[in-house]
Amino acid sequence: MYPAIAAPERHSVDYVSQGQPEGPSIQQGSAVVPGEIVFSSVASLITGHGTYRSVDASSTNIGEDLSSAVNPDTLASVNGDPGIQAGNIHTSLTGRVRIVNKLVYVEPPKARYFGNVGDTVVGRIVEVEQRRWRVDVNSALLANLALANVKLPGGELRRKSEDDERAMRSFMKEGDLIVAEVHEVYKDGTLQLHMPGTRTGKLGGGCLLRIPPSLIKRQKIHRHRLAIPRMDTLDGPITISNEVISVGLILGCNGYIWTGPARAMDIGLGLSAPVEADLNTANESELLAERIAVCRVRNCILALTHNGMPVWETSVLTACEASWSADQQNDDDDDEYQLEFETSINNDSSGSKSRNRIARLLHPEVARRLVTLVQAKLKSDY
Amino acid sequence: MAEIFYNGRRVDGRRPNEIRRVDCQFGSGYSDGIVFLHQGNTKVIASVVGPHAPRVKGDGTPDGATITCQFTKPPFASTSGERRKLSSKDRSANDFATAIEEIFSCVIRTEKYPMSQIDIFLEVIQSDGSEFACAVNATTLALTDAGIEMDCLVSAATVGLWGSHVFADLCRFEENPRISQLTVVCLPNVHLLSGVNTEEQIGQWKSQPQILHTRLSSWLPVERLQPLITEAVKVAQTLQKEFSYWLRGRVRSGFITR
Repeated sequence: MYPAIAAPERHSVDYVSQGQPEGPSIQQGSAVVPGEIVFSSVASLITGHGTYRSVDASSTNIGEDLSSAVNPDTLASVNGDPGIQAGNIHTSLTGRVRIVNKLVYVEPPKARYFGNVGDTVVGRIVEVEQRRWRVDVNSALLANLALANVKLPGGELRRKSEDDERAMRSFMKEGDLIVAEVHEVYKDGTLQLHMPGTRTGKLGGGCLLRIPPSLIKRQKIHRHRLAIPRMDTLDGPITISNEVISVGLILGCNGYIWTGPARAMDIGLGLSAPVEADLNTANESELLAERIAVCRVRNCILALTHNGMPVWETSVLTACEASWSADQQNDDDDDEYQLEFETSINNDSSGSKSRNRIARLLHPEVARRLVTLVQAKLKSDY
Repeated sequence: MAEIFYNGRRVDGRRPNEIRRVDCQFGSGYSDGIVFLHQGNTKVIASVVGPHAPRVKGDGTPDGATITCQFTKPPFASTSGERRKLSSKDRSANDFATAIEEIFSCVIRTEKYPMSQIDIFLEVIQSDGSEFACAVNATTLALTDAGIEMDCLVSAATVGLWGSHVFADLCRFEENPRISQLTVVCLPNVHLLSGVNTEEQIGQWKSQPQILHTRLSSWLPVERLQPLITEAVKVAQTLQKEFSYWLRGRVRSGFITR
């Protein structure tokens, strides 16, 4: 029998040295854990998301009533009950404390989407019920999309009838991706979606990512069209050309990010004809170049997310430009490439290594270096 | 077998009041919260999915979230070399899963997520003593990493009584019938964490009940059980302080967006 040995050293961030508690007071941006008292019971603040007040059960006896009656300067109780005093403000989430005027709430780094009216969300249809669709939007409950809130194909404006109810699966069926807006948030947390205007609708072929909703910056426009430099092959020589490929990007506030060809983003909106009809006009090299550009955007977003960087249009575009510049630089210095990164794929029978320029963005070292470049560029721009 | 307690040292070299080294790894995957927790050589992976809509229609309750737990142990988990396949009807695993469901039904603020479901998946990768306590600690970290609102951080610890000595955080060699084992799941004294405290609040918090769950392996008289519970609560609060350090450090190492 051997005695139990200690756990081996881990190559992880030393969280313990950074996790010291705060000083005697909680301020804006302090890191808190659940159960911590951030303010005492005399603070006249409103508890928000992630905070709660504990009810003091010991203050309901007669002595407390007499002492509060004798002392007229005692603060009036929040509940209006003379016997029950408001307790301390505790936190119930791990995150950072935010204090806005008299509201105190906690921002968790990773949570599910809880819904705001007017947010653009990307969702996937999981069920078709009578007169409504059930949509998964990465929230605590499924969202509802009523038949009365969607646009008809062709854009005609009329009331929905029973024929439309029977034809609901021809509009959108299970598994389809949609982009919609939050119309209403019910009391139990259910979201009611709607599709106003021409910016919402069904999405065509593309790529769906799921990241924490706190990493998406809140902006006015969540539907972007990026100009990505064209690259014809993954492992061949890079031909320098000024051609760009238009890639659509929809940053949903719920953490779902859709990226795909801008053609699919435009055609899908408004429940128009299927996207496959237009594929006949494009040839194979065009489709391959388009797909490589979409995959570059996807891998850049994953690199930003894994390193804790927020995702918005400028950061995604800067990351794509940085990865494009790194591709050209690595082509010139072949020895430096093989020395620094070992993500090359041995495909040729002669032993020479081929490089997948898109897949290597998922390597942790390459991703960290890319995020460092993006942060430096954004800092110099601002 | 070597002596369990000799010259002030235990069988693995620790003093009676020392706990094993704690290491947390927070993962990122398809679950909402993933934690790989090491307490010495006991390793537990806890992953939390949710709150999400119930998969079976009509399964939700309108007053709060439903918490489900699944406790699995692969055959290679034991450090003693014994390989035993765990079936789905194993009483020990189902007992652990039910206990964890009950513990976190009291701690999670379920009224925030009506008609929802929170799934907890626990897998013991390596078992070297204090298995249930490590599973509860991993679940706490995974739930708060998933962003689910909880009243407090729950912590659990296993202590053993050997003669007049109390052993903290038992390992595999100390989990034998000659040592009375007690596992305590308790809430922390939160006034120790922050500086906002007054005299009556200290007295008030110390008088509040804090123990959510106990597991005692054998019968003990009351005068020997009371100091054992006191030591178990102290060990659990020490672990809770360590976990709060890990969580605070993880929040601070993230990217500050404003």
